Amino acid sequence: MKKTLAAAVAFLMLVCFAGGCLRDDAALSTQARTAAEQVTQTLAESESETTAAPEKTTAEKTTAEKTTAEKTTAEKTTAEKTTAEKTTAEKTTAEKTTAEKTTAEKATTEKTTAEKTTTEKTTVEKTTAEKTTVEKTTTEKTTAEKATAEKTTAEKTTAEKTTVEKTTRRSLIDQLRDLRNQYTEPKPDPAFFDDVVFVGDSVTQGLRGYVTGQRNKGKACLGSAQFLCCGSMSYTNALAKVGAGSMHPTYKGKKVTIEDGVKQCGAKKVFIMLGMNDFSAYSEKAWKQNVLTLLDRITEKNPDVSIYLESVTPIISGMEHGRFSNENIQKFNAYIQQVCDDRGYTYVDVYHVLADDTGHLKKSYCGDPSAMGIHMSGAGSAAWAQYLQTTFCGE
Amino acid sequence: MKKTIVGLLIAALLFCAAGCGADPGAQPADGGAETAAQPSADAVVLGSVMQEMLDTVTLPEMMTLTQDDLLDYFGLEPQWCADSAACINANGFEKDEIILVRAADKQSVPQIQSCLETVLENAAAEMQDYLPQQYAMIRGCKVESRDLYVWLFISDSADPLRAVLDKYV
Repeated sequence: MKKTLAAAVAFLMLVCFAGGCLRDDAALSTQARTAAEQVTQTLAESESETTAAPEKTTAEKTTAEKTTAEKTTAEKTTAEKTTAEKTTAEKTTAEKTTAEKTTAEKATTEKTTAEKTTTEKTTVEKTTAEKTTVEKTTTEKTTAEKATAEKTTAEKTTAEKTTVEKTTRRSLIDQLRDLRNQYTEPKPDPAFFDDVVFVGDSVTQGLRGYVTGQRNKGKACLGSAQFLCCGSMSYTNALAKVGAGSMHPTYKGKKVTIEDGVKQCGAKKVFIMLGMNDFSAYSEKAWKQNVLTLLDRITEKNPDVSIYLESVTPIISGMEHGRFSNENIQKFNAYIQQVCDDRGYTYVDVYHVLADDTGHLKKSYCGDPSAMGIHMSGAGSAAWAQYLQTTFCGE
Repeated sequence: MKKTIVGLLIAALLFCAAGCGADPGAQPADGGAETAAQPSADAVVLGSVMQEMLDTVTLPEMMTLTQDDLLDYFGLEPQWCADSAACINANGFEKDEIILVRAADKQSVPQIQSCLETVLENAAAEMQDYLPQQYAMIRGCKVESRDLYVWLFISDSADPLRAVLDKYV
């Protein structure tokens, strides 16, 4: 009977263990099985010991003791088993918790690691990308800056070179001008015009007539300046050979070229007003070249003279026609002004002295308002002479 | 007798006084200009003749030249000229000119003529392609001479000017 009970208890315990084991993992099941085996072994040992005790005096006593012992053993076993189970469960729980915790920690760690890795990777990639971008940008920027710098340097160098050349050229011109100005720059010099020769066409002939008239009245006018004039003379036709029908001034009754006339009259300053018969009759290219050619001839023959280029004077309102216009006169004047700048000559702006507010020759200054509208009246010549006198003599 | 002598003296004084007050340059109204312009039988004061021309004929803006100007304007050497008078148009684009010269001697006459011919040619050349009317007028003019006198009129009024000169030369 006792054996049957013990076997039943053992069986129940095994079932309980098995159930617990089924709920737990394989490790726990194994431990429970081991515990059950131990209980079984203990029961077997206990049964064996009971069988081997012959000296018991009374059967009841023996049985009671045995029962007590069994009971104690069973209780003990149960307690141990419970403890073991509890321990196992706690252990399992702890392990499970630990495992879960570990798993969680691991997962967290992994996650963190992954995130960290991802972050790092992202950061790295980002950094790399940024770095690449920065490097690329830097490289491009550097290249661009380098190119810009080279370009700037090249441009700067070119500009500096040009500036230097220009400065050098300007410096030479300035030096030349300074040298010339020692003799020619407008100064309060009453004798300024004594070594001047005026070269011109019919417009300058009018000035000559006025000056001669003033002198013959006993009035000083432009010192003892001389004149080499010829009506219709231009920069262009003055280049022709002297002949019966040529347009050349006369010096002491004989036709001469301008360069020869300047030399013969011994002038040191040459005031030239030509052009009215150039821009209206010849192409721009032609008259520009002819201006330079005549000036070259004069200076080659008379290297010590100073050149003064007077602007062509304006046309009265209503008398402009075709190329014979104030617009073309201004264009011509701009050109000779440029020649003066380039060659160190002096530009004398007579145009604006004789023009009205509209740029036409003042009516009171015009001597032929119904003919050509370009020649001076006595008042016009007086204004012109006075301007020269004031500018160069300070009077 | 005394009265007669006193009367004669007074009359003499009056004649003397009348002679001193007379203007030797005054031109009598009855053609006395010839006497005034020709102080001697051989010479005519050309300045006076030219002034009479300017008074007789209306010319535009004429400007009188001195004998020194003749060389500059016309190439006339002073030693060629015993007397001269000239005026030109001052505006520079019209060629009205009066040139009167009495040569210093016969050898100077052709030289003076040559100079004035050059003046005329140059004037024509200037105007040929410039002012046709002026050119035509110049082409109608010529250098003239009589004895020691040489003259040139460049003007539409050459005939009236010549008429004045004819009275003295």
